Formats: sequence, structure tokens, C-alpha cells
Amino acid sequence: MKYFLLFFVFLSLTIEAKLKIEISQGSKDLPKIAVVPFKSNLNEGESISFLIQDNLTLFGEFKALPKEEMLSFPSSEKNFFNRDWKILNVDYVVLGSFQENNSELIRIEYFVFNISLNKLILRGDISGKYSEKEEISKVISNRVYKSITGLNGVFNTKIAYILNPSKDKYKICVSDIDGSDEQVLFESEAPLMSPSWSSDLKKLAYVSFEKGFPEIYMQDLFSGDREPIKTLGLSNSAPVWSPDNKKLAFVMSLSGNPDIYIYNLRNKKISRHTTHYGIDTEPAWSPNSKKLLFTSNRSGSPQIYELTISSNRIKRVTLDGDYNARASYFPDGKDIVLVHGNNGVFHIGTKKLKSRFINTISKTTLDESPTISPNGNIIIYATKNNTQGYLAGLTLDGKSKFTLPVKLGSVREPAWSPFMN
Amino acid sequence: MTNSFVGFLNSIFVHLFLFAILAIDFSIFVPQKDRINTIPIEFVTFPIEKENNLKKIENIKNESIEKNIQKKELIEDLKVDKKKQLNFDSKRKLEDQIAETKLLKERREVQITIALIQDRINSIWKKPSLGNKNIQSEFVINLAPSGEILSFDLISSSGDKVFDESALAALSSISFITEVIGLDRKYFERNFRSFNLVFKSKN
Repeated sequence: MKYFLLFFVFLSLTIEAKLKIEISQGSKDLPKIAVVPFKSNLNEGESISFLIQDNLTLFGEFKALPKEEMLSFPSSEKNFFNRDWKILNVDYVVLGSFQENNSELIRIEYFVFNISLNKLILRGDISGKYSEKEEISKVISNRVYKSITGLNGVFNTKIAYILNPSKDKYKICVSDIDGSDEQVLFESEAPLMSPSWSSDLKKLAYVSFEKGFPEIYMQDLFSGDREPIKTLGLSNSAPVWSPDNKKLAFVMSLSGNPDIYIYNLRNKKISRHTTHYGIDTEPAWSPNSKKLLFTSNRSGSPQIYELTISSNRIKRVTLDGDYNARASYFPDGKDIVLVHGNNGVFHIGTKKLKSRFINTISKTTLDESPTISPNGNIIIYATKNNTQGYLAGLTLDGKSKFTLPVKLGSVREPAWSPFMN
Repeated sequence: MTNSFVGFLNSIFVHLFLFAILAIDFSIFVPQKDRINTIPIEFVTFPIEKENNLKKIENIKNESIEKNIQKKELIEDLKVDKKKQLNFDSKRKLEDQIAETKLLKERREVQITIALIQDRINSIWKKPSLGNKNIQSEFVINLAPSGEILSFDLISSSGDKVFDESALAALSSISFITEVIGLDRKYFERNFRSFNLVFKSKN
């Protein structure tokens, strides 16, 4: 009854249509951030603040204020004055100090201010060894990033990729997301493909042609032990670890026709999930591990389909364009990112699962293998410059584009790791 | 039960009454017809009719010479038509036309001002990194005719603190929306005295 009456109240309130102005673009300028050199009793006082600044500007999401332009160098709340930064048009200020407690241990105290709101938005401290300052500054950067954007920082995540330094040499590598600390997991003279992270970050699955045919291996990142998946088919490819870490989706050709299969990591059983005579490939898990996206040419051209695993029900997801492939879900499971091609030009695009429209976001052509950051804000993809493959990336709002440090050789198939816990 | 039913009936009457008041209020802004009576008819052209007539005449011209007689008749007919129209319908049509052009003018002016305001707010709003979040927050803005922002209030939050604060920061960085200066006072009162500003994470 009450609700019924409320309805009438609303009716009478909504009669007058008010003018509504929509703002969706926002300024083209990047937010300006000032990382003030940290005060310390050591000589290397600035090193940690420099590392933090490098992290925060890694994906081009912020513009850093150079040290020379700063009017003051506060190290705590007491000597911080908002107006010093407001006249420099700075949006956020990070400041802090660290002390050496005994020979090795340091304690860092840091603050983040939002200048336009004139507000302290983060105060934190962390202790650790000075020799681990890279890791410490990544943790601080993540916290600062979260306080500014509300999104989790990805500065301590890793990336796996295939490196092809010369014609008959293939390497599977893992490095920090900034390109540092590269480790080679496996080297082969036969092609390597499709790296995929386990969600506990302990293992990597990939495809190797070392025996002359494609075979899926799971490799332990710490011990280096490799274990092949034993299947009946001769051609196995595109392994993807499920987010709940219980299954591995992959593609197998039993009678020459690739279909989607799932390998149960607990009981080591294999189940078949597509049976169409068209090619079904490139599976990708939904965040809740209940659905799979895959690419199929069953309609005549490569398009994306969604498979519900419990019922094997299949739904077509893309309708526009003559080429849609390599799709994966965003961390919220509502949108997807994919390679969208039209007339031989390939871009990275995003699409809401429930709408028809595909939004292309990359400006380069010949883009492939997009991988989404675990916070859903950045996409790294492989692209080509003449014959050399390299990794490029962009933020979803399109404001910043970047390329990852060039390696000695062609880089392909990036795979962004899940969050470190 | 009976009490609430009586209350319900009462509220219906009250709301119908309120509705009636609002509806009457609205008629204030309908253009008043007796004002336009004084506009002399001679100065007004009828572009649409003229065009139609011209087209008709052209069509006739293109036809063969055999129909020459018909043509003359037709033209005469048209002339008569026109005179008749002028005598009978023209006044009403004129009124409608003027009301329409006034409305069109207002709509155009308002559209231009909206675009200017959008440009202005876009240039100062530093949208935070959002991933693929699809959120929006809505503010109500009260303006003085000078463009001064008298107040702004968050009426519908996006649920994301950082997003709301970015919009708040943008609004608190300006104290005037000068884009409404020079706008006809009536248009201002009707559209920009109090309006809603919706900040959206996506287009």
C-alpha cells in the first residue's frame, strides 16, 4: 500500500522535466602527480621516491612533476602546504620519509594528498630491508594507486611472453610488468605458444612443438619441473587455467577437427564441450569459472561464442565485422576484449556482453593477443613493426598509450599474471 | 485498513489537485496568441507554399504545348487558391509558424549553451582511471543569471568514492558558468536556473 502511495508521490514529482546535461569525456590532460624526494638519514634518500614515481608513471596514467619545479620538499603532514601545489596545478602529492632502524631494516612513512580537495587521502608505513627497496616501493605504489583511483595497483604483477630471438630459437619468459627481472623458463628450437598462468601463480601452461606436434606442458615456476597433459588427440593447443585453479580448458583435434575440451586437474579426466564440425579454438574462462568464451568459424567467419559449461549451451556473442577472435573477459565478467578485424585491418576492441556494439581502442593495425591487467584498466597486446613483434599497451580510457621495453627479438603472446596475494 | 484506504483516496485527490495546479502553471509559458495579432500580413512570405507553387509551374512548363490552355487555367487556379488561403487560413497558420520558430529558436540557443557547458566541464574534469566500470553520478546545480554557481549537490552517487570526488573537485574548481551569460532571460529561467549535471564513466 505504502509503495502504491509512494508511486503517486513520485508521479507528481516527476512531472516537471529538468534539463540534464551529460558529461562523459573529461579532460584530455593526465592527472599531475608530484612525488617529493623522501627524507632520510641515508644518502640514498631519493631512491625510493624515484622508484615510486617510475612505477606510477609506468603506464602513462599520470604525469610526474619534475623535482626542479617543486616549490617545497615536505616530508610529513606538518610541513605540507596545499597552496604550494595548487599553483603548480598538481593533482596529487606523495611524500614521506624513511629511517634506518638498525643495520639493514628501514621504516618508511608515506602520505598522499589530494590537492583539489585539500585532503589527506592516505597515510601508511612499511618496514623492510633496504636491499629489497624495489619490492617495497612496488607495495607503496600499489597502495598510493589504490588511494588515488580506487583500483588495485598492478605494479607487482608479472608478465609471461614468447621471445623469438632468432629464426630457430624460442623462449618462454617471465618478467616483472615493467620488463625487469626477466627469467627464461624454457628454451626450444621448435615453436612455443600460448602461455597461461595458474591463478596461484605457481605454474605456467604452454604449448610446445618439441616432439614435432603441439603438446601442452605445465611447468612449475619454482622447481622448473615440466609435466605434459596426456591426451588421445595428436594436436593440443591453447591451454587456459581456470580462475578457481581446478581445470584447464584447451583445444584438441581428435579427428582433425579442433574442439574445446576441459582437463580436470584433480582427477585428470578430460571432457568434451563442443562438437561442431567447424573450428572451435582460443578458449577463455569467465571470472567465476562457469563459462568459456571461444572463437569459432561455424558461421563462416571467425566469431566469438560463449559456452556455459554445466549445460554446454552455446550463445553467439559477436555479430559485427568479418573477423572477431581471441576474446577474454574483463575481471568483472561483464565486458570482453577481443581482436576485431575488418578488411584485413586488426584492432583491439572491447564489447559489452549484452550489447551489440564493438568499441575499437587501439590505433595500430595488425594487433593480436590482447591481455587485460588484473585490475581491468590496462590492456597489453602484441603488434608488429615491419617484421619485429613488440608489446604495446593502452589504458581503457584511451588517454595513454605505451610500448614495453624492446627485447632482443620478436615478442609475442603476452599473458598478464593474476594479482599476487 | 479502512483508515489507510481513506488515506489513499485522500492522497489521490490531493495529488490530482497538485497535478492540476502544476498543469495550470505550465500554461504560463505557452505563447500568448493575442500578442501576435498586430503583425501585418503583407510582410510575411510563405516559403513552403511558394516552392510548391513554383514546382507545380515548372512541372507544367515541362509538359507538351498541347496542354498550354490547361496550364493557364492551372496558374489562375493557383492564384485563386493562394488568395483564398490568405483570406481564410493565413492568420492561424501564421500564428502557428511564429510559435514554432520561437520554440525552435529557444531549442537552438539551449542546445548551444548545453554544448558550451559540456565543453567547459569536460576540460576541467579529471576523470580517474576506472577500468571498464560503467557508473554515473548526478549533481543538481543552481545558477544565478550572472552564471554564478549558487549551489551544487550530489543527488545520486555512483557508489565509487573516487569517481564522485573527481566530479566534486571539478565543480568546486569553478565558481561561474559564464556560458549562460547573454542567454535570453526567459530561456535561462526555464532551463538553466536549476539543472542536473550527470557525470558518466562511459559514453
